[in-house]
Amino acid sequence: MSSAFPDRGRRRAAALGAATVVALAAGCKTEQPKGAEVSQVSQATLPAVSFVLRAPEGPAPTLAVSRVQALVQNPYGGVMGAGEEGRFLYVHMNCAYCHGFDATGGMGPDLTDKSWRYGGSDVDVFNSIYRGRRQGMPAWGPLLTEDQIWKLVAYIRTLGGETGARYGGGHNAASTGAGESETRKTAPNEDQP
Amino acid sequence: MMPTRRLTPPRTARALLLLLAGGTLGCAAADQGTNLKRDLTRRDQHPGEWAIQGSDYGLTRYSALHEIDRSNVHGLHVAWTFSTGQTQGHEGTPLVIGNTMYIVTPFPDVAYALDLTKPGTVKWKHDPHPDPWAIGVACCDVVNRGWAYADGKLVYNLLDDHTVALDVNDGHEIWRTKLADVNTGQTMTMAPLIADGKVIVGNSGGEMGARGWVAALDLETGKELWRAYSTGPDSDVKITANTKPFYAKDRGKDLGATSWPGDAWKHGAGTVWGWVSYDPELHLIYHGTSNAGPWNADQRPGDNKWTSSVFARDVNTGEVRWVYQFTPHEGWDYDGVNEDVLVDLPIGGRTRKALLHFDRNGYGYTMDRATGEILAVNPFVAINWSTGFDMTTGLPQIDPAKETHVGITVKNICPSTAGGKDEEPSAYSPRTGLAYIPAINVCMDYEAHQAQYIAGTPYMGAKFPATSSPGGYKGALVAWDPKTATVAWAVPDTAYPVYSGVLATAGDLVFYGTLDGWFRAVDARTGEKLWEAKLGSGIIGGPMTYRGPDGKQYVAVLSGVGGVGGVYATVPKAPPTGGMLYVFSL
Repeated sequence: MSSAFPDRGRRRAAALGAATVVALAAGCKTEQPKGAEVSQVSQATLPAVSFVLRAPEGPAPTLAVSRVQALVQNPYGGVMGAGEEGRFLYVHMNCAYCHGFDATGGMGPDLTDKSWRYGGSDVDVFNSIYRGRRQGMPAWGPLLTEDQIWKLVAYIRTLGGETGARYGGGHNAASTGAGESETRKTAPNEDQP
Repeated sequence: MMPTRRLTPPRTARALLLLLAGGTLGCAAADQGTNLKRDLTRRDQHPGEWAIQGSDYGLTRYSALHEIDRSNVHGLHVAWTFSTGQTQGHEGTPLVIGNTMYIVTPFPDVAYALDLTKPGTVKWKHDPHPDPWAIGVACCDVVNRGWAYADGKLVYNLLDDHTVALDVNDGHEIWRTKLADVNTGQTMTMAPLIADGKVIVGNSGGEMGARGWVAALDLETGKELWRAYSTGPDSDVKITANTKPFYAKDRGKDLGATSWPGDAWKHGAGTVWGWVSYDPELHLIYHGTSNAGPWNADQRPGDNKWTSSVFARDVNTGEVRWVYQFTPHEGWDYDGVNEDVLVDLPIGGRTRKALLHFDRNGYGYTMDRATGEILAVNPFVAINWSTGFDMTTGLPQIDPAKETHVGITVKNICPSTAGGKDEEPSAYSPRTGLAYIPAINVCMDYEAHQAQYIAGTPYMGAKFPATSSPGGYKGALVAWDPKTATVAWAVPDTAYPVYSGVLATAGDLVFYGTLDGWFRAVDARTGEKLWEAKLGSGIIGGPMTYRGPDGKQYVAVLSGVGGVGGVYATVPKAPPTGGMLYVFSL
């Protein structure tokens, strides 16, 4: 996205830095951070901006949302046959035509690599399918049952893409001709459809 | 019809702009004092400019400039460059009017005016902020295939189905018209053509179950004047009693509906995502239509009119004068949208008003543009879906073994879905009488599936892996004699298809680029390579040439691989993406 919207990209980078710092600071303060506490971190505790912008990339910020993710698991995770049913849906609901029959990308992003624009946990992937995402991923909630979406998640899990990573390295998505640049979305409200 | 917004910048913003411009205003206004009106029918009046994507209304991509020629082209070097800041495919051609160059980036479709008196300096920039939802609905990268100029306005399409007109003096939006809804799988990527005070635009979405259309907007206001569909009943297509198709196969009532099962024509594609040309004497515009939808042809028995076709329409009303379908019941993604080049040729002892068309299906057609009669036709690359051509009926003879069906994998069909040539435009030199075709020489296997229409998602039903390249080359610059429809010579490329536009000049040079970033000049008479330069990324844009404020001839091209061409440039050693304008001079 930074390539598509240079100015916004810079703002997002700043937001990312800020969010990371908030998370780290909250983590120091208490073992089980709560949203209210996080918001009370004073400006004085924040490092200088120049340092913030170079905050190391790493595992996802451990905000409350990740606790929800830990609690919610795919009911079809490890269930025999669920992946095959998911594959059937993947082809017949036209997912394959955007993400590729081998799921390595096309109009839509690669689902087999380590890069997840909107998070790679089961819940993240479920949400991406259920709610849609704002660069053209339709919301399938009105068309598919939650059971079916979980089966799709189960299928995607069989593709070898790294699970659980909120963001990661990955390769240059633009080389697929899909026209979407590598994007790392981390600020809490950035992934709204 | 869709609503039009007329936009003017807030007065305070304009005042601020003037304030900021301050002392430099006198210089920046250099073009404002000159007459920005151009008679686009008279290319000869401004030979040093480039005001239409295709150079002229016939889309010849020919320039009369000849300072750079075969004897001195070896001394061509980079004069200046300009980064577009975008990494998607750069398919368009820069325009030059007066002392200003205009370029538009791929999504988010940012327009730049560059001051040629201070090379590479931004006069103004306009970011129209199109809806990012369109990114995921665009089949073939988020490209912009070109922009148009007339009467002090820069007009182009946004990926999210709007057409905008900017004031070339300061870049502010004069109007913005919504043409379609991205949620229906439609986007807009084609280059508008401004003819007779009308902006001709069309849609993309042939892979998304869209229904193709072409529309005319009023240049002054953006108001939609007429819209014609590629499928459906005659009233929608604008076929009337005055429509005279040359061949019997294309005559009949409501063929745009009856050549489909049921109402399949409503999602039958025939989108208008390629080029539009214009004959001011006949008052006709010419445009092609895309593949049929879905790609699985078993779901749409019939000829599927008017997909993979060429229309001649009255520019004032959209009424069809004649129509010809290149590929009936298309089952290989052989769109008919490639450019229709309008030139006058001596054929059979008299001058014919000709239309040259190098189709995705691999045939090069020379037609009479007044009537739609085919004067000459032959393949310009290796093809095997068709075994011959019936000049009486106007029908290609189709090899039944290459017809695609559900449940079978048809092996080694030539050409592939990319076609023998894609939309990247050819050039024609009146000095050599040759057309220069950027050609693709790749075959494919094809496996059709049942496709399901879900709005906003692909409506395809096919897998189509690329296979061999007959003769061992993947592409070529093909020099073509349109009088006889025969290959004069070709410059093969063993590594990549040729996927850039082409420029021909009066210096008897032909310029084109490669997917691995070589920008070349070859001898227009022999194809001998005379000069080349390595650019930062692969080239899928169209080169152009102009005379600068210093009186010197320049050659410019956008580098930045992507689009469908980008698929071929994903091999390990191919250069990466990244948009950059390169300008060369002696």
